[in-house]
Amino acid sequence: MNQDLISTTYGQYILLLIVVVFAIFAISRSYLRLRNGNESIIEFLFWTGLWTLIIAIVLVPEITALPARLLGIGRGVDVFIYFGLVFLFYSTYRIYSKIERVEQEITRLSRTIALREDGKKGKKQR
Amino acid sequence: MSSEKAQKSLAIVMPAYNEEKVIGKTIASLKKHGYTKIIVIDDGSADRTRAVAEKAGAIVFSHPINRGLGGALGTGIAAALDSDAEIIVTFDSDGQHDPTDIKRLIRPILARKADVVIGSRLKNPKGMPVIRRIGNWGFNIITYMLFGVWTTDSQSGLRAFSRSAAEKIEIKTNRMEVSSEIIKEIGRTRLRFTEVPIRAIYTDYSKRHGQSSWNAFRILAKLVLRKLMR
Repeated sequence: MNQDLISTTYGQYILLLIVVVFAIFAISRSYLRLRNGNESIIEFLFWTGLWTLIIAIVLVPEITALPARLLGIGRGVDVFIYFGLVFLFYSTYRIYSKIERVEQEITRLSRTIALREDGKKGKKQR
Repeated sequence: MSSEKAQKSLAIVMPAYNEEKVIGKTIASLKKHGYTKIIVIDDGSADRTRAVAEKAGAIVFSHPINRGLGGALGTGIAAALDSDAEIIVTFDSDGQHDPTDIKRLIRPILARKADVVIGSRLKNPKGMPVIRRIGNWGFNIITYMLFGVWTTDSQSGLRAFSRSAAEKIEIKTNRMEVSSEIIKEIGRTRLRFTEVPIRAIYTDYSKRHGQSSWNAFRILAKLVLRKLMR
């Protein structure tokens, strides 16, 4: 009985630790991308802010109570989940349109290569 | 324009991806009917499509990597415009089209009654498997709802464009959605559009190579997403 209680508590700490470590890892990745010029300063600030917020919420869950009350949502954590979902949908959309654009660019590139390489030869033959 | 002159300034655009087994025959039958300018877009094939097409007498443009039907059609139309074609006909490489249909297909353009003509397999649906017929109708209804152009066979690969129509149409999608995109462009640029019945030759080969039902769902999802995002 007592043993169970102890392991649950430990389990919670392990989960907290995993989340915090992952958040720090994500921030460090973002920092590296910023340093290599793959990410703009605004993107970096956004991601750092987001992950810092996640760390804060995980460590001090009470801080979600205020926005929850303001928005009329019962539990503090739910606010976070709702916004999380909205954000996920939005980023899926962003990724979708980005991939579309990249695909179109690759096609344009392939087209230019095909027309240039084979167009030249065609003219020589004619 | 006399029909002989039309034949000379007519370019056939044929997208091909791994079609070495049939493309030679398809090109030969077009040549036999007097069509000399055949532009093949080898869409990153891994087989001998390019060599076979060149040997059969086509002008071949090769994509360095596979881009899909839309990408290949876009390249083919660009190449045809470069070659001063006055009429551009798209023709499937898998042998499902009948070269004798081309004359009827381009007639409305020669008569200046249409800018774009699509060869419809469903005005004369003999030989088309039932399941495909049903799928096609579903497609046409959705195409109409999205783009406001009614076709009986929006997914047909046999189409004819006048030069000015081909210059106006912008192809952006890379894959099978291109057929619907062309319809969308007809609506957007207000081109005059008509359909003529054609014969579809369904061999085992062309059936295997056509769109699977699963693919149709993917196309639908993409078209709807696109519509929502604009």
